Amino acid sequence: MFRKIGLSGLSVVVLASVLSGCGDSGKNAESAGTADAGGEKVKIRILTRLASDQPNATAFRDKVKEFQQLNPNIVVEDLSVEDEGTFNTKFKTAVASGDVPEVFANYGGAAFAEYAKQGVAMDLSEILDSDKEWSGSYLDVFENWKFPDVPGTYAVPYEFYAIGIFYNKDLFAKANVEVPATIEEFEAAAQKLKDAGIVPMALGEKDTWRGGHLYSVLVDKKMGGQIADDIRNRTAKYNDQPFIDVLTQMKSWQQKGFLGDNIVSIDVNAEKNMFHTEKTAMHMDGSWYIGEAGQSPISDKVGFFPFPYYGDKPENKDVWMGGAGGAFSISGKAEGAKKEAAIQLLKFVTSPESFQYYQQVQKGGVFPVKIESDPAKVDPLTISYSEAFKDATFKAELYSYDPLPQMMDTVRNGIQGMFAGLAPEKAAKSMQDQVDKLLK
Amino acid sequence: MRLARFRLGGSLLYLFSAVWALITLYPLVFTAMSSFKTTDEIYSAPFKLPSLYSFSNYARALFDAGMLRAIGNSFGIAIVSTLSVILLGSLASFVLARLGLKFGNAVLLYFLLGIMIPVHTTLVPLMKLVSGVQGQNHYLTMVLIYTAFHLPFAIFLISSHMRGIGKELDESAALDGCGPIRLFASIIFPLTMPAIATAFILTFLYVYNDLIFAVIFISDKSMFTIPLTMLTFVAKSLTEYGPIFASIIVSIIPMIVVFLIFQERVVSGLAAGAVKE
Repeated sequence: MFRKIGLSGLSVVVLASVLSGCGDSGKNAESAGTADAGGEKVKIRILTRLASDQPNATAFRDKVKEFQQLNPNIVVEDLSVEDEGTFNTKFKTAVASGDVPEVFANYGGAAFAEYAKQGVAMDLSEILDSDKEWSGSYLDVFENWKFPDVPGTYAVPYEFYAIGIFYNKDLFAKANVEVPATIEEFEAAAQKLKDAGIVPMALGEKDTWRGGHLYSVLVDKKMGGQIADDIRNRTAKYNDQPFIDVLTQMKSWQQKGFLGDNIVSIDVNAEKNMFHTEKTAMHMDGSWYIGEAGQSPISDKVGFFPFPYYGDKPENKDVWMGGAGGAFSISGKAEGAKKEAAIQLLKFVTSPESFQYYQQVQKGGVFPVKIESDPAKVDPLTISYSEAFKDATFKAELYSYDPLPQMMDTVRNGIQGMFAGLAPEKAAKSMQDQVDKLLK
Repeated sequence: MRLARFRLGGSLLYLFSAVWALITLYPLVFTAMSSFKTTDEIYSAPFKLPSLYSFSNYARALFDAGMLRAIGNSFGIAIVSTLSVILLGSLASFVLARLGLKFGNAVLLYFLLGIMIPVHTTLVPLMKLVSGVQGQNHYLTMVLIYTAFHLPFAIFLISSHMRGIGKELDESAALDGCGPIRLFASIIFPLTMPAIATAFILTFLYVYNDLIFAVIFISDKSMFTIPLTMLTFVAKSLTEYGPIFASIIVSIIPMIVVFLIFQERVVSGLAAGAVKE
């Protein structure tokens, strides 16, 4: 027995030294590389949400690799993780311990203002101004990273989205339905589809952002882009009549079966599955879905149209829910060579050439910059998307303009509650009650 | 009459066991079935047998995502951490439970406090500590952290079992000229085997499945553990369940091996200390 213990003890020591040896050898190789390069190596870390095997993530990693080859003196350590919860844990731990990666992804909005104020993210306005060739290609999408009480621009967007409706051309033909332009036409089309035994536009409301998006789109179409400022300035209330009207309309769509059965119990994956298996004719989604549509079993049947507008509000026809999605910030603590390297990398991965490359690898997709798309290499959905929003103004989800970050969850949950049985007036009141309670 | 009732009870017991076995085994069967399906098929026909037995999910898991390497990493880290926990834990328990130190109980209480610290509250200080010594992407860092976090529970488990062994054993061993090291190695350690095996399996399971420390401290792809590797199938708007299920199937094989080896001891170990023999 003693021998056995001795052995296991020994094996612990041996294994530990073998394993730690592995780790060390990596470090040695790195320092050897430094000597070869003949200069001081700068190491920067990036934390993005581009870590999966999906084309958008691999295209980004290709560009980072290319950057490394062009800049042998810069070592880029990639800490990226795509899953939202895990990403947040990693980012928040990094912020709390004061060791934020030099380049990191975020989504801006009111919730990010605190990070800008505390210097977690660096003000990039000088860098943007000093290189017009690079920043000039951007669309006007920096809104989410500019804050009333801190001057500056705190990130450079790399994602762009716009919400519209994807539809199954075959099912539309089967039910003898035309692409609707107005909401009134949309309701008539939905009724026809429903009569033909097809779910018009399934909604996976188990994921509360699904209803949140539908709500935001309808609010934009009903009240125009101005409503975002009204919410920010508190000149509008969540239980004003137009908001209740929107909620009532959503509820009536649910009751008529336009959104499917038991919508609160199915999630977005199941919703997409219904679209891919031709159980539902329409799928409201962002431009990020273009790539997935191309890989789906119904790829040759999918078409796209902008979200319909209210017939009596044609002035809001071109207000879209959309804007910049993810963006890259540079750590406020980065200094000297690290700062320079981080800026260099940031400019490289967000250059128009890089965006063109991302579009080619993904065979489509829309980006926050003006780029020429090559129709031979880019899918028709992207082309029709880009055509459709040429004259659009973009607004993010309504509640993201609210200075109270809690309102995102409150409104989304309120909508889910309404779909689960609450009256629209009560749901709207519960949202406004939360505002009043928090402001007290 | 009494016999009939007994028989009825017996068959009820069998029925209950069969249902229970089904409930327990079903997730495994579901995982195995789904590992052959595409993600769309998992959603549209979750309970049906796969329409096609394709190994493409396994190929993606093993070769594209590097699951083999990840299993090696997880297994290596888990086994080294677990052996360290057992070695240090049983030695500490021996001193605390058998040698009658003056402040033995206070020290034991101090160790037990460790059980009550939630892992997440330690992340920030740990991160500071580890980046202070440049310890990211280092197997030794992981082993040290896991060992530290699992020692308290192992000591709790092993020392309470050791207390249950009669003191007379020590005395008669001492009479025969047995020193403390030999007493530990040849007498107490083997007698504590059930508790040790339990500590072993619990620590191993936890470390093998852990995500949080790996997420924070490992970024080098060649060092990814199993849960980290599976995360590469989680994209922003799409989760590829097919390859995830395939990864699960592949990664539970080593667990089954470990469990089969220790099974008998674990089961008796779980009941150890429940009654005084």
